Amino acid sequence: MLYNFIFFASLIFGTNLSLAAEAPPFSLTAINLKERINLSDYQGQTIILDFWASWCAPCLSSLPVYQTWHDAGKVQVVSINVDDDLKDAIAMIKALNLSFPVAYDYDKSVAKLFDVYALPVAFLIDKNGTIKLRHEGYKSTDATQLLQRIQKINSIH
Amino acid sequence: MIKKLVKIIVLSICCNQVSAATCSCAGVPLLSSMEASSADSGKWYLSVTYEEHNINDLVSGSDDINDETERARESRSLLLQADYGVNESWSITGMLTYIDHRRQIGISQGSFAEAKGLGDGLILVKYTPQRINLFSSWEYSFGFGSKIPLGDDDYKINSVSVSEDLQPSSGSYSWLAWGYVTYAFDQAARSQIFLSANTSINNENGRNYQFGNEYNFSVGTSYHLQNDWAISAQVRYRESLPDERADVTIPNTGGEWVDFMPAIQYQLNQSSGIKLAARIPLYRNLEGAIQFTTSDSISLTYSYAL
Repeated sequence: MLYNFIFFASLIFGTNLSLAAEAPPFSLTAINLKERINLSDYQGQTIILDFWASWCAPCLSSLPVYQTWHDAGKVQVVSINVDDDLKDAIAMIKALNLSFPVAYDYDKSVAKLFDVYALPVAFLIDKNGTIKLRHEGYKSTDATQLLQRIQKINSIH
Repeated sequence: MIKKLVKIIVLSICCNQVSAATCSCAGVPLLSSMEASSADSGKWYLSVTYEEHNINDLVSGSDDINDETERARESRSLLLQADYGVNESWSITGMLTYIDHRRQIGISQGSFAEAKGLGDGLILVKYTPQRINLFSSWEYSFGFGSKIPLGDDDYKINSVSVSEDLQPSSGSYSWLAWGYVTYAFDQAARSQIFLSANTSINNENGRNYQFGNEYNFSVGTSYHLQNDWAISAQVRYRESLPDERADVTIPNTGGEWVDFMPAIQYQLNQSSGIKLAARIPLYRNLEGAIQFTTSDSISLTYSYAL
């Protein structure tokens, strides 16, 4: 059934966290940096906060794109992995050669905090810590639209 | 027969919601044909299904009878389904059908009958209070609606009306109820089991004919492979009450069926997929002295998500 295939890419749930709201603070361990990170560490930068898992195909399409933007200095990427098994997350970080912080949300408490019920979900957060966009699912055509939004947010500040 | 079954199994290897029809129904039993999905909020799911359904098994009660009449009965149908997610919990499903019934009795050229045209339609409102997500392994969904007689229920060949089972449409409205529960064994929902039930409460058509009420219960499982393939299989119990005309029971209609329904699906891209499905009878216990009933069916579905 098609539903089963695209379920995690397109499911829309939990929109209680409204746009223009301040991004809720969290503190998690970044797997690849081996240190604890706080959202407030990135205050003053435009951030993509991306929730993903190794079994989510659209997530795996989006991560290399975010890595490119991160490397080019277009945006600070902070990602949050929600795999049940940490080993799966580590394997994927290596496979995709991710260098931006990948925090492990072992109990999905941060996912719940951001009303993330399905994957992928990316939040654009401005330099003041305000959520400017909630983007659910990912198709290759989304990249242009997202980058335009990032540039727009960057130009305002 | 065994060769035929093996061929179907090899061709299709597994299923989900597959089409079905019986000799006692003019239109395609739409609820059985409906995809189980409930569209996500603001999304459209469109699908088109082509089904070939052979009704050539001769059965007395639960015993197969050797048919030496050279009779051949086939229904080909095209089903168009659209689902729209109104919000997180509510969705609407609509379906249109085009039916081509064919029957050959004996070998003479004049013994061939064909009736084709628009069949019945369906509209169903679904409520899904719980979906599978990061925090839940369960999904529940149920719905209510109506079957709508859009097509011809008085199709004539040489000015003579064909029998009810050959009519493209049932000619009457029906009340429909549908329910679906699924459980995902893993976070990615690759392995699932599901239960499904539906019923169709039928009314009399303009010619005082009433198809028997129908009850379906299914249990099945599905598995997504690591690549773009998925397989599924379900066993369905179906009961149909005898048909009636002017409140008089029509003999040799109605009964119980148990079918195995395998399917295999391939995801073409993030938005579309194709599915090959089959129906193979396992058991039937039919009303009356003798009935022709489903020997097998096979269907191909293309789905697209907007």
